[in-house]
Amino acid sequence: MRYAALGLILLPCVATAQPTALRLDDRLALEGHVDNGNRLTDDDDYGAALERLIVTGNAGALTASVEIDAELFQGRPSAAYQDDARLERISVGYDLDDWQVTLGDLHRQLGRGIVLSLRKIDELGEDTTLQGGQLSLSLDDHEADLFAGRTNASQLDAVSQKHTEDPGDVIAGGAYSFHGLSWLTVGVHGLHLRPRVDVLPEEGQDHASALGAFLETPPLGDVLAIYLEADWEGRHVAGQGEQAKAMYGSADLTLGAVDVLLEGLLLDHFFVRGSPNTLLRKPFDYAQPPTLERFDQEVIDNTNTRGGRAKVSYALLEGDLVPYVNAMYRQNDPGDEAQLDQLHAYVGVDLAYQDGRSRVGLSGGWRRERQQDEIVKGMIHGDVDWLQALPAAWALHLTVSHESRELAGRDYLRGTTLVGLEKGGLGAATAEIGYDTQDDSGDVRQVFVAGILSWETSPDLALRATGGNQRGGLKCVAGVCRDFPAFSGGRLEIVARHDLL
Amino acid sequence: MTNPVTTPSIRALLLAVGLLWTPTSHAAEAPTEPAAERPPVADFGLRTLDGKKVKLSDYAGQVVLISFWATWCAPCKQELIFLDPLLKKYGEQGLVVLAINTDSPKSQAEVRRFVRTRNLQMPVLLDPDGEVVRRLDPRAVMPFSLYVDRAGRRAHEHEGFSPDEPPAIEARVIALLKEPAPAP
Repeated sequence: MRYAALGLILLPCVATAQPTALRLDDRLALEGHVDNGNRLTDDDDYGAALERLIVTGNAGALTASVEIDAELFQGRPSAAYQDDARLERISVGYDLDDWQVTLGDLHRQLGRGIVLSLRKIDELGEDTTLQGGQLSLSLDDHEADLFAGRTNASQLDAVSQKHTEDPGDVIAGGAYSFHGLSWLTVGVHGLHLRPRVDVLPEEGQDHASALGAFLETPPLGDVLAIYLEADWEGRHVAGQGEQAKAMYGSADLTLGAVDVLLEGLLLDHFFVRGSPNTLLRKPFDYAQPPTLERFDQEVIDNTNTRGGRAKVSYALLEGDLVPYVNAMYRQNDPGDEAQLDQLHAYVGVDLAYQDGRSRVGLSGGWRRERQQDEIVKGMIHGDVDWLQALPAAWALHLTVSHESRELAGRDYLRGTTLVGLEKGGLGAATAEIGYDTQDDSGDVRQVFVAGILSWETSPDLALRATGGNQRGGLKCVAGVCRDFPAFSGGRLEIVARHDLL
Repeated sequence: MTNPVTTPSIRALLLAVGLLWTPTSHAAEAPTEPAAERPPVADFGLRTLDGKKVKLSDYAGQVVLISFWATWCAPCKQELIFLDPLLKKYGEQGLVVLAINTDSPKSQAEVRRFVRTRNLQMPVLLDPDGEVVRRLDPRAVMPFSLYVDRAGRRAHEHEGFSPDEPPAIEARVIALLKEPAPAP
């Protein structure tokens, strides 16, 4: 049945008289996992072959794509690792002048993601789609769409490699925006969510509805750009009715070489959640509101919070030298006994030199989290990202991330340093050293050492070999940034693409 | 979507995929794909930072260099800094650079700040749903650049950015600009 669907979707691409494109993108990872030193035994000593094949095609106004995922495990440490192969994504779209129809898996975000944000994070990250349909109209001054479907998550958890089931929650919604004024864009959006699994079935069906509106101005007088959004949600969970509201705003003020960015956030018990994730034992979260935090800052709770941040940048040397200062203050659960006050300030500078061929970014900061007048968490951090162009198309890349942390009165260190030698069109050799001293019980790994070799054999084929122990996190290797899961062992990745037509 | 199949099927799939790993060309040998082998690029429409609607087909007959980027991606930003003067140099000859931003809500407020700080002149398009990324950069690798020739075909694509690439990028752009525009 699935293969018939695949054929039905691809057939129009090759059968039409229009010029046709059909290509394959493939990633195969062969992994051998050893004891990763986290004290747990149900994620050690196994082999895995992870395959992701993406076929995309287009002919005239028609586009189509399918994704086939397969996992094969050797010596599975627990039943949570499952051999599997499936048609994970299938999508077909048709553009007719200003109209667009999409059937199958689609990503969707409303406003700034407070109400809904289903999108692919990166190559290896979370990926939940809405499996259904969307009808869109896009004119110069007006944009509108309606969508409906069931949520479809990747069966392979990107971090643990364990199997998880689809949530299958029903979401229907729509959005409209007006762009007819040169100085203002306004829009409204809304959705209705019906989880597949009710929290307490005997209390009736859970459901939630959310409505929101936003306005956005392009830079007024080339000086001030503003975005404002307000959202409301009504939930019915376990027989109880709840209401929630959210507000978000940002203002970007440019005064000559100085740029001031202001952000404010209010989330009053605002969340859009579906059925439980069978692996993580918590509900799927379909919203991804702004956090006010740095992009790599872990955010434990972003549902009942308020705060703001300010960032001032000063562009020197025609933008080649940009020092900046950032300050953020957030309150989680404001007014509650458990109110958590978070303060984070950091400064930094970005420098581009040698006609932009080399760059260096330096930053450092300080963070405190207080609860009931006690410091529960603290951090002093320093970061370096330095890329130095060398002769003969070589480059030296140094990335340092260090955090001196304090958690409940205990100090520990966490960080990662990457040193790489890169050559464009050829590849890179990178050494990685990480450390995390949070658990000093002696049976948990504190130092992580790994090596990464990447080889671009042709524009269509690249190999990456990794050996050792790695901490997880966002890393940029050989000019490509990805969110890496923690890993111990050896891995060979083969990434290929191939034009069939 | 779960549709378990048998282990032999998985092995057959892996074997079939393995057969596709024959490389077809090498970057050093051809700056772009031969014209006859170029597939068409699907049209798309996105809004700019200022809310204006832009479609790829608006630039029919021109050479379009599409760069997918995010504010958290340092090599992406380095590439944009290089592409902006390239646009100024070759814009009158028919080069268009479209910078498609893929930031999530977490960092979306940083987009305009970076564009203003660097005074980028190229159109910066927003792809909040990630749907254009899904079509053109299916593995969602950053940075990712796509070269579209005057006939609307994919002439070249490239993952990552390294400091030695600007001469190759410029040579590729010059070669594409020299190709004749298709008859209307």
